[in-house]
Order: sequence, then C-alpha cells, then structure tokens
Amino acid sequence: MSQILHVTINGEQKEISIEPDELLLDVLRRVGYKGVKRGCKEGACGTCTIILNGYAVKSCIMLAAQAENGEITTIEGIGTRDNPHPIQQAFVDEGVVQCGFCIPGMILSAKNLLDKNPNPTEEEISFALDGNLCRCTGYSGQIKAVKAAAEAIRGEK
Amino acid sequence: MKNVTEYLYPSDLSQALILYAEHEESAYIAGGTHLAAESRNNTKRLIDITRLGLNEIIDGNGEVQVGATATITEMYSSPEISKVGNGVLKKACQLIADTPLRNAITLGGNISRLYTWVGLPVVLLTLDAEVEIMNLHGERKRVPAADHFANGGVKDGDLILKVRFPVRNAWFHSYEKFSLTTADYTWLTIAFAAEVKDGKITDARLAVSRITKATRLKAVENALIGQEIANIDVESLLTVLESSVDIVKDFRVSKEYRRQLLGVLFKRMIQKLQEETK
Repeated sequence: MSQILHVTINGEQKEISIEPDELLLDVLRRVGYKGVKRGCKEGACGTCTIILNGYAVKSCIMLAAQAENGEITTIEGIGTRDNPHPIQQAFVDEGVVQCGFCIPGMILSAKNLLDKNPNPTEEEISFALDGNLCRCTGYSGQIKAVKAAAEAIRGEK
Repeated sequence: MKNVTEYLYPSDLSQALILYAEHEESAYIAGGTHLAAESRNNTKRLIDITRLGLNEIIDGNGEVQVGATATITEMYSSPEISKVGNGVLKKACQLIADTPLRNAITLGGNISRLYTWVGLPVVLLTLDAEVEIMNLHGERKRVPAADHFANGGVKDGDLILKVRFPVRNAWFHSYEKFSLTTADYTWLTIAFAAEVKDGKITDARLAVSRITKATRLKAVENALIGQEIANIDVESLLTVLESSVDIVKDFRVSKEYRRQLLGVLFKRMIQKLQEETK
C-alpha cells in the first residue's frame, strides 16, 4: 500500500509517494538525486551515503519510510560546479578522485564530520571515513583533502 | 523486505504493542540495517519504534541504563558509556561496523536477533548486564543477559526497552574484535573480565561470539578463579579453552585458524590483566 513520505531534501520540502518496502536509495534516485550512488546495496561500500537528521547513513540499507519527517542532505545539496563546497574543492585540489564513484558518499561522510568537529585529527578523519570504500586511490590523499577542507572552512587557508 | 505492505509510526509504547498484536506478521524496526537488506522475510507490517523516546542514556545507582533505540554512535559519544567497565563498552561500540552504520545500528537491534557477528552481546555477558523487556501485555521483566542469549533472544512480540549495564569499574575488562578490515564481518569477538583481590582472581567472565553463538565459557572462568595473577597457568587454561568451544563452520576461514586465533587473543588478554593488576 503506497504512502506519502514527508521529507526535506537539500532544504526543499517534499511529499513523495513510496511503497513501504522501498529502499531510501531507490526513492532518492527515482526522484532525481542521482548523486546517491548504488554500489554494493548491502551496506558495505558507502557510496550511497547521505546525511539524515545530522548523521551520515547508508541509504541502501534503510527503508525510505524511516526518513519520515526527516531532513536529508545529498551531494546535490552541498555545492555546484560553479560554487563547490570546500570539501569538494579540496578533493579536486588534492587530486584524490579517480573513477569518482565513491566520492559523493565520502564527501558527505566528511561533511558530517566537519559539521560536528571543525578541527579533526587524522585519526578522527579516518574514523569518520571508515564506511566509504575507495578502490582506486587508497585513502591517504582523501584524509589530506579533508584536513585541507577543514582549514578552508575555518578560514585558515 | 519484499513483502512489507504497511509501515506505521506509533505515538507511544502502548500503541506500538496494539499495532503489533493486531497483525500476525508484524515486526518492530529501529535502525533497520538488517531488515532492509533482508530478502527472505515474511514481515508484512513494520512498526517504527524510533520516535518513542527509547534512546535515553541514564547514569545512576551503580549502573548505566541505555535505551533500546540509542544508536551505537550515541553510545560511543556518551560520557556515561565511558564510565562502564573502565571504558570497555565504549571500545566495543568503537569496533562495531563503520561510522554510517554505527549511526543507524541500535543497541536493541544488536541484541534482539542472535546474529553471531554483532558486537555487543559478549560485553553484555562479561558485564552481567540485564535486558529490560516488555511483552505484548505491557508487562516488564528484567532478564540477565546470559539468559537472554541462552534462550534465543527476544520472543515474538517482546520489545526490548533498555539494557542496564553495571558500572563495575573495580574489575579488569578487555574486548577484542578480529576482522580483516574495519568494516568487515568479525572472525572472532571476545570479551574478558576479572575481579582481582590480594593478587588472586576471585571472579571471572569470558565470552565469545562469531566462532559460536554469543556465549560465556564457564569452564575457563572456573579455571581462572583462584589463580594468582603472578603465576597464571596459561597453558592449562588454553587446554580448557580449546575444549570449551565447538567452533562453527565459516566458509572464509578454517576452524583450526580460529582456534589458534582464540588462544592468541585470550593469552594477550591474560598478559594485559597481569600488566594492569601488578
């Protein structure tokens, strides 16, 4: 039986018709948020990561109905090509993107960290990114990029 | 969750119980990390219990009470959790899955179904925690963790409300998870706790999971009691340890490997006990 999901996505209030068994990942992609990537679909790779109510979560292993009255941020909501978010800019500047498939989830995990902790240690960055697998580049560059983004956000760069 | 036809949001606990009782194929959902990935499931009605205020973490009377829908991240970040077992509960939370999963996984979800790979049951066992459960008639009961796991977890319609963790800081505590990567399934999870008085072990708890269902190894605990810290007979303990676990099959790793692993991690815990209680 279909139901209406009331949710705010990237600051816009939405009413979306969903099925009770639909995954949040599938709903977000269906309504146009294609930056939320479908990877493993079993909660392992993290490329489907979004921010829900202030916490990074994997949208492939949660039902859309769980997000009722929630606030979602996807990669589409944090920057544009002309005006990228400091984390996006840092990923470009540090050259830590190859195929790019893991990057939306990784950037949202990084944003979730920096929103709460604007001056994280390397260990804290590594802990925050531990749910996002990158099969191209490894992780040291991305950790460096998050540190650089933190400095930029703090106005030190 | 291909068969789900209803997803409901009760406004309070009593409504949750009513919604559950009126449909034969009901299930409660909190973090949903397993339910959402489950393809073989007959559940038709899901009842969301994350909006009922069941996520409080309260410190008092020598115990810390943790609500069933507290996420692992909420537990890990809580100063109250750091007080339990000299930080052993916080360490267990740190080693569960990965950050986005810890943001979703709840305490109740981690202990309601008896999956061997989940991280918290062994530490509930070594801390002698109690699980507070409400049945479909609204009756509350407190179940020792050892009984909860031995009896197969929650019964149909039972709802975990909270877990009471004794602070128990006078004991030595240790917890280890062995996995190939941070986010990979564990190969062995082990927790150990010991009370030491006048240089002797006076009480002990040892629990393992993944190599078998979460269980206390009472033969090893009994063999530990009375041993002098300075002269622990590790070799004979290892013999008892080996014979006290019937290791289950795992297609990724042999029983022999995990038997060896169990011995190594246990020995390291004993060494740590000796160092910390000199």
